[in-house]
Amino acid sequence: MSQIRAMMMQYMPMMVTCEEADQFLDDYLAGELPRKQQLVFEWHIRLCTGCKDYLERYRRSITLCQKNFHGENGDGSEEIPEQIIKGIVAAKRAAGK
Amino acid sequence: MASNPVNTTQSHAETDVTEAELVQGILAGDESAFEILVRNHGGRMLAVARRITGNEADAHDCLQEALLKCFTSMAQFQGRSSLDTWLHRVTANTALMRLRSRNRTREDSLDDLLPAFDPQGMRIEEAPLSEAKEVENLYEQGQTQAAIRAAIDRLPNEYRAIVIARDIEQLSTSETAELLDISKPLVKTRLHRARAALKRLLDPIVESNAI
Repeated sequence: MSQIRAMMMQYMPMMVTCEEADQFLDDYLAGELPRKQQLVFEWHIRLCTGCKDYLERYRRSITLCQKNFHGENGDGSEEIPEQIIKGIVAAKRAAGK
Repeated sequence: MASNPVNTTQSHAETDVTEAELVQGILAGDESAFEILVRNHGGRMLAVARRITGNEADAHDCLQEALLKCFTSMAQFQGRSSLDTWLHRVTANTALMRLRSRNRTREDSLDDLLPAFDPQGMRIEEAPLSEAKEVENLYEQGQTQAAIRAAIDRLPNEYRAIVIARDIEQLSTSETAELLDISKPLVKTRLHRARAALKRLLDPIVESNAI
């Protein structure tokens, strides 16, 4: 069965292999894929559960990074050591800026 | 403020000036305004620099560089965003440029994290990854942010820089290419590889996290 599917995706018109579809991923998510390629990609995703699952996880991992890298409440403040403040102020004076 | 500089020996609370006063003071070249900028905003900027560089010494250098840039280029701050947003942008860009200048790592160090395909180009199912265990452990301890940062820290510098610029700081492909001094196609290629590697590292979290 998987052999038949592989042959279909390799040789039938409007079909691409998983490896080829993988190259469309970022442009698809950015909404920048030309119309024809978008149709080809979406057709592949309909037929291939592996790629459908991969796309969903790929998208969710990007969201996870966006939400958590800086934290949901912005940059998060912290006390800056007095020594660092003095060092930076002194460096600025020394630079004569 | 320029005609009445703030006494820098005053307590932290007394450096409580409005954003407009601070900007005016810096534009006038007031030395005390610079110190207030450092005291009031330095902590947040340091946190941003630390997260992006992943390195304490680099973060300190970055903070100093970013603050000096802010002081000398305050005229570019036009008030369209908040001062905090502008300071974040300057700090993030400075930190990303520092990542760029670090030693390059071997590109193939990502290969074991990328998807695999059979000779017909069909996707091969991914096996659980031992490297994802650290990330999963942090997540299970309730440390989601630390888990995400650990996954991003695992990426070689040139990929870290791209994923932070594009996905976290939301720079465009062109802005990222200019900032990191690489071509736009290279930004796209590296972003794809970085995202694929992160997806693999974050799979255990993604699986148990409804986003």
